[in-house]
Amino acid sequence: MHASARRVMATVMVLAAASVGVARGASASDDDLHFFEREVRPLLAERCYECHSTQSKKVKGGLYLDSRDGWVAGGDSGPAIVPGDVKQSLVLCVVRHEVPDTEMPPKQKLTPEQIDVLEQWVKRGAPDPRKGVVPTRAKRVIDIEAGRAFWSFRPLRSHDTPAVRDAAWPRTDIDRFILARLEAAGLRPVADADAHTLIRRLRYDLTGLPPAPDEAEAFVAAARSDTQAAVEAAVDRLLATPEFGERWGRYWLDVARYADSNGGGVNYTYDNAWRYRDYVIAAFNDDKPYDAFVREQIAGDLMPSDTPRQRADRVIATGFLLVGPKPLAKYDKQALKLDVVDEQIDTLGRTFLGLTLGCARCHDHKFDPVSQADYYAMAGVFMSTVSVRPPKGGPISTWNKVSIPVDEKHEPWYAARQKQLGKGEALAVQDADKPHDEHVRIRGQSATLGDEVPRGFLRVATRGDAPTIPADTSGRAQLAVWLTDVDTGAGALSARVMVNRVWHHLLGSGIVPTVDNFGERGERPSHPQLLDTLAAQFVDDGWSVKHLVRRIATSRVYRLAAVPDEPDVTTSADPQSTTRNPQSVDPDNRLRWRAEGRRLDVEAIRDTILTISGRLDEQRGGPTLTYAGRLNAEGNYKKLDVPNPIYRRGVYLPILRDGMSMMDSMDMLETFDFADPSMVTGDRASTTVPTQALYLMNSPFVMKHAELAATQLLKRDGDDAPRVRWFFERAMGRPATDHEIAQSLKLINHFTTVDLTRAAAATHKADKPGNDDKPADARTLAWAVFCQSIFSCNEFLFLN
Amino acid sequence: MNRHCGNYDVTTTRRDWLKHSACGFGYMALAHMLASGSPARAAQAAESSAVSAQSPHMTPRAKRVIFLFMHGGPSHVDTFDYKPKLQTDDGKSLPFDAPKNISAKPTLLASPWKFAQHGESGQWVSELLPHTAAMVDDLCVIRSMHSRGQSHGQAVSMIHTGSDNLVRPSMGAWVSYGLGTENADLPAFMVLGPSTAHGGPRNYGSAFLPASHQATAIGANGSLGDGRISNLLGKLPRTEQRRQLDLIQSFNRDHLAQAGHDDQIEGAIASYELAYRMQGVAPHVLDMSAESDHVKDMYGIGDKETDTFGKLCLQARRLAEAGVRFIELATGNIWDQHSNLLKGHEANARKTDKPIAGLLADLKQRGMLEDTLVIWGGEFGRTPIVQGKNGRDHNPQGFTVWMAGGGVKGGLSYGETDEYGYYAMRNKVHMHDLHATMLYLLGMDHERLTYRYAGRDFRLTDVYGHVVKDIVA
Repeated sequence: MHASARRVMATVMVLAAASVGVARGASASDDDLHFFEREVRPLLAERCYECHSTQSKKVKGGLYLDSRDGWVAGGDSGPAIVPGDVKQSLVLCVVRHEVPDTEMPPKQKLTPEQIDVLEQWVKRGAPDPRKGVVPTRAKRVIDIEAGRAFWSFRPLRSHDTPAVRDAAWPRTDIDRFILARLEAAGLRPVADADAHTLIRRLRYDLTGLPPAPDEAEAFVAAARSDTQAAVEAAVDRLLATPEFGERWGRYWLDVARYADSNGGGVNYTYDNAWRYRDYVIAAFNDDKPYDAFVREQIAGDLMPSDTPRQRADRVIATGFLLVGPKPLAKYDKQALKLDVVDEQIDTLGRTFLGLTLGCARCHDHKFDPVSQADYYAMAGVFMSTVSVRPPKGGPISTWNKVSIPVDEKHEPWYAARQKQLGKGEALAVQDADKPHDEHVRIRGQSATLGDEVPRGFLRVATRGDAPTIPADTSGRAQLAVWLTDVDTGAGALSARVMVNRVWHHLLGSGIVPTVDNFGERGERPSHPQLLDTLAAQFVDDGWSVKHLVRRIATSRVYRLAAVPDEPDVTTSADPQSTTRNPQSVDPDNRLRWRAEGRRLDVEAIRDTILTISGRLDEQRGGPTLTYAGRLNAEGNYKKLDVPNPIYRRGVYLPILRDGMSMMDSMDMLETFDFADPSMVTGDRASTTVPTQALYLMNSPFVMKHAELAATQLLKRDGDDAPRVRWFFERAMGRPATDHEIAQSLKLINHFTTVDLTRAAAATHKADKPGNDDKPADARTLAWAVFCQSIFSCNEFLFLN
Repeated sequence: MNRHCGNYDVTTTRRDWLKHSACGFGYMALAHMLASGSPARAAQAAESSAVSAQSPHMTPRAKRVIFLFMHGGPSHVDTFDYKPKLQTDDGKSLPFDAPKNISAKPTLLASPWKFAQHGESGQWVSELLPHTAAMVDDLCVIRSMHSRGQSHGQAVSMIHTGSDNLVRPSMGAWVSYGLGTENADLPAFMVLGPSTAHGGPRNYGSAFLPASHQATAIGANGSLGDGRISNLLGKLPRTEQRRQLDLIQSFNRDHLAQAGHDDQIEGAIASYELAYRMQGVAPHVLDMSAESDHVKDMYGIGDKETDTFGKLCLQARRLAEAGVRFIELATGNIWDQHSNLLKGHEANARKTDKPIAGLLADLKQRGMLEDTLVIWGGEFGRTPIVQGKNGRDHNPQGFTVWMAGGGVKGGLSYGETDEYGYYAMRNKVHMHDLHATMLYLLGMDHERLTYRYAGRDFRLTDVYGHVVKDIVA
C-alpha cells in the first residue's frame, strides 16, 4: 500500500473506533446487551464464525467477527460495521447481497428475520461486550528499495569482455561471454553447422522463407573460402529484404496479441486493425528505433509529428492498446472499462517489461515489488484514455476510432474497397476530456472503492523523481517516455526484455527462458552479464533492432551445429578442456554449447509450401479481411473463406480471435501452435500432436499444394533422379543422398501404377477455395505423393 | 530441441509410475510436455506432475464426464424448480428488487407447464420433460446454482472456463491435463456440435495449457454435421497411405539418427503412428450404423424431432465407451426465450428430452453410469418475471443444473431458490463450486490441479470454489 494510503486507512480506523466509543458509552444499556446476547451473538456464531473467528481454520478476508475489536479493525475491505449507520456497514451490505461476488454467507442467505436482527443491532450502535485480541496479520509490505536490487530492476551496465583460453574460437564479444562460461564448466562448443544448414537457418530466422537452391549454392561456395564474411554478407542482404519485417513483425504481433476481431461473446471485426499490423511490419523494415516504437504504441497520438503521414502512423500505433479482447457486452460499463484497462496494463507489462502487472489488480503482487497502488496509478492513466465507447443503443459497447488521412498513393487498394472499408479510420485511443486519478478497487471489485491514488508509474522501476503528469492529460505521454528512459524510468528493463526476445528468436530460447516474465517467478538469466552488455549496446546503437540481429547472427555461437559432436571429434580439439560430456553436464543447453533445433512455426511451414507450389502471393500490406461486422454464426466465418483463398504470407492472414478453427483456410494455424491472440506470447508452444500429422497427410491444403509442386517439378528438364535431388534442395536446403533418391523413386514408381485420379478429383471438390486448377494426371499425382511426403517429414518441418 | 539423456531414467520412472497409478493422473500432462520441445516447459511438466503425483487424491468416483450444454439458458422455473407461489401470484409484482440491467418487467409470470412429483424420490419435474422425469431417481438436481455474467458471452465462458472475462482453459482441457486419456488412439477431450456463438472455440480451448488439451470438435451448433474429425481421412486408400507413411518414417528415422537422441523427433515419429492408428480406430468409433434399432430408438434417432440431438447423445456414449475423458455436446443457442417461451421451450424439450433420457438409460444398462458423470445445464436460468408478453430474461442469480451417475446422490434435490425462483438462497452452489465438485468426483483436488503460466499457478476455480460434499454419494 502507498504510504499515503496507509495513513488514510489508519485515520479511518481511528475515527471508527472513536465513534464506537461514543456509541457504546451513550447507549450500551442492559437492554442492548441483552439483545446482543439473545439475538446477535448466536446468529454470528452460527452463521459467521466458521470463516470469521479466531477458531476458523482459515480466516476469510482478514475479518474477525468474534470480538468487537475484530469488526472495528475490519478485514481487507475495511471496518465491517459503522455503529448506528446501516448504510455504511459492510456487514449489512453483504448479507443483503448488495455487492456481487461478496454475498455472505456464501452458501445460504440469512433469513429476512436474521438480517433484521443485524440491522437492529447496528442501529442500536452495535453494542458488543466481547473482548478479544484480533490476530495481527503478517501483512507483506512491499519494500520498493529492496525490490530494486532484483536483477531485472538494476541499472544497465556494460561488462568487460571475459578472457578465454581458446582465443581462436570466438568471432565476436558474444562468443567470448559464452565461451568463458563453457570453459569454466569444462565444456567446449560443438563444431560449426555445415554451410547448407547455416544458410537455411539464416534464411528462416531472418525472413521466414527457405533459401532458393541457387542462393544456397552461392552461399556454400562463398563460405568455403570465408565463412564469417559469407555470413555477414548474407545477414546484410537478408536484413534489407522486405521479408525481414514480415517475419519479425509477426513476432511482435504475437506479443501484441494482435487480432482482426474482438473475439468472445460479441465478436466484431476490427476492420482497421490491419493498419496497425502494417505499421509494425514497416517499423521493423525501417529499423525504427525500438524506444520510439514503444513510445508510439503507448502515446503516438500525443507526440508532435512533422508530417500528416507521420501523424497518421503514430495514431495507428496506439492500436496496440486496442487490438486485445474486450468484454463489450458487459452490462456494468464501469466494470467493463476497468476490465479493458486491466487487459491493457497486463499486456503492456508482459510485452514491454516482462512483468505480470495484472496480478496487482486485486491485491499487492504476491511475488514482485508491484503494489496495488502502483497498479491503480497506471489504471488512472488508462481510465483517462478513451478506449471503449458507450453503446449507441443496446447493451454492446464499441471501441474508439480516430480519423486519419488516407494516402492513396500508399494505399492503392483504397479506392477500390472504400465502400467496404469505410472511411480512413484507425483503431486508436485518445485522451479523455476529463483526466482523473483512480481509486484502488478492493479485491479488484469495481464497486468497492479504496483510496484514490495519483496517476503514475511503477515505483520499483523509477529512479529519482517520477515525471510529473499534468492534471489535464492522461499521462500516457509521460508513461511512454518513462518506459524507455534508461536512467530514471523502466528503460533498462525494456531494453533487456527486447534484447532477450531477439536472442530467443535467433537462438531458440532466451538468455532468460521465460521471455515474458522477468519477475521473481520468471527464470534467471543464464548469462546476466552478456544480457546486460547487449542491452547497453542496444541502447547505444540507438535501439536498432537490425544492429542487434546482426550482432547475434554473425556470432560464432549462432553458427554452431544443433547436434552433439561425435565423441572423437570433441576429444581431438583440445584434450585438456574436454573431459566432460556436455550432454550430461548441461542437457538443456543453457550454456549454449550447441544450437537449438526447432520446429518451424506455422507461418514458415505454410509460406514454404506456398513458395514451393509456386502460389505464394507476394503482395504486401493492406486489408485482407473481406467482411466487416459481427461474427456470430457459422455463416459469417464461412463468408470469410470465400471466394478466394488467401495465399499471401501468413502474417497477412486475417486473425479472427476465437474464430480460426471455424475457417477451413485457418485451421492450419491452430493445428500448428499459432499464438493465441488473446495472450501475450513471446514463446509459442511447439507441440507434436497427431492432428498435425493428420493435417500434413490429409488436409486439402497440403494435398493441393503438393500437387501443384509436383506439376512445377515435372516441368523441369531432365531425368527423375535430378528432379528428386532438386526437390530436396528446394524443400530441405540440402542435396539428397543416393539412398534417399532411390527410396523416393521407388515410391513414385509404385504410385504411378495406382489409380489416384478419382480420389484426386474428390480432393479438388473438397478444397473449394480457389479451385482453379484442373485435376492432374496419374504421373503428376504420383509425384504429388512424393512432394507431400517431403512436406510431412520431420526434417522439412525442422530448423537444424 | 530437448534432450533428456541426463535425467532420462528419472522421467522414465516417473512416467511409468504415473502410468500405472490408479487413474493415470498427470501422465499425459507430463508426456505431452516432454514432447513439447521447450526445456522450460518440460521442466514445468515434470514439476507439476510431480506435485500432482504426490498429492493425496480422493478416490475417483467418475472416470469421465459427459456435459450436456443447454446453450441459451433453459428456464429452471419451467423445468425442475417448482414454485407454487409463482403459480398463484401470476401477474403480481415481484415483491423484492430484481437485479440491475434487466429488461424484464417486475411482473411475475407463472409457468405455463404443470409440475408433478416423479419416481421414488418424488422430485418435481414439469411436464416439459416427461422422459427425463422418468429418470429422476438417478438425478441429483441442484436448484441453487448461481454464476457470474448477465450476458451470454460471459456466462457461457463462466460455465466452461470458470472465468467470465479472461481467456482460460476449458474444464474439459483441465480434465484432459489432469487425467490424460483412457485411450491413446483418441483425443481426451471432444465436443459434439459446439456452438460457434458466444466465444465459440474459446469455450473448449486450452488457453495456456498445451494445445493437445484443446477439444477435438465434430460438427457445429447442435449438429454433428458430416460427423467427421477434420483431416482424419485423405485420398489414399489405407494400404497406400501406409506405404507413403513408411517413406516419411524412414526419412524421420534418418533424421533422428543424425540428431542423436531427441525427444521432439521421437515424438514426431510416434505422433505419425498415433495418427495412423486414430485413422483406423476413430471411424469405427464414430460409425453409429452398427447400433441396433432398439438402442437408436432409445435416443429417438429416426424421429424427425429427436434425430439430430439423439445422434449427438449416442455418439457421446460411443466416445465415452471408447475412452474419451470429457465429452461435451451442445444444443446450439436454442434456449434463449426472451419471447415465445411456450413454443420455444416446448420445441427444445421435444428435441432434447428423449435423447437425454435415452443416454442415461443406455449408460445405466451398460453399467457405465456408475463411473460416468453426466452434467446437464445452461449458462444461466431465466427470470420468474416476464419479458415482453411471454418471455423470460437471463438469470444467473439462481438456476438449476443436474448431475447424474459418477458418484453423485441420485434422487436428490439440493439447495433452494427464493419462493419465486429468482435468487439462490439455501445451500447455494456457485459455478466455481460446481467445477470444484466435478473435479472432486474425478478424483482431483481443485486447489491442487494447477498449471504454472506467466509466473503463477492457475486453477479452473481461480481462487474460489468449495466441493459440495452433501451431494456426493
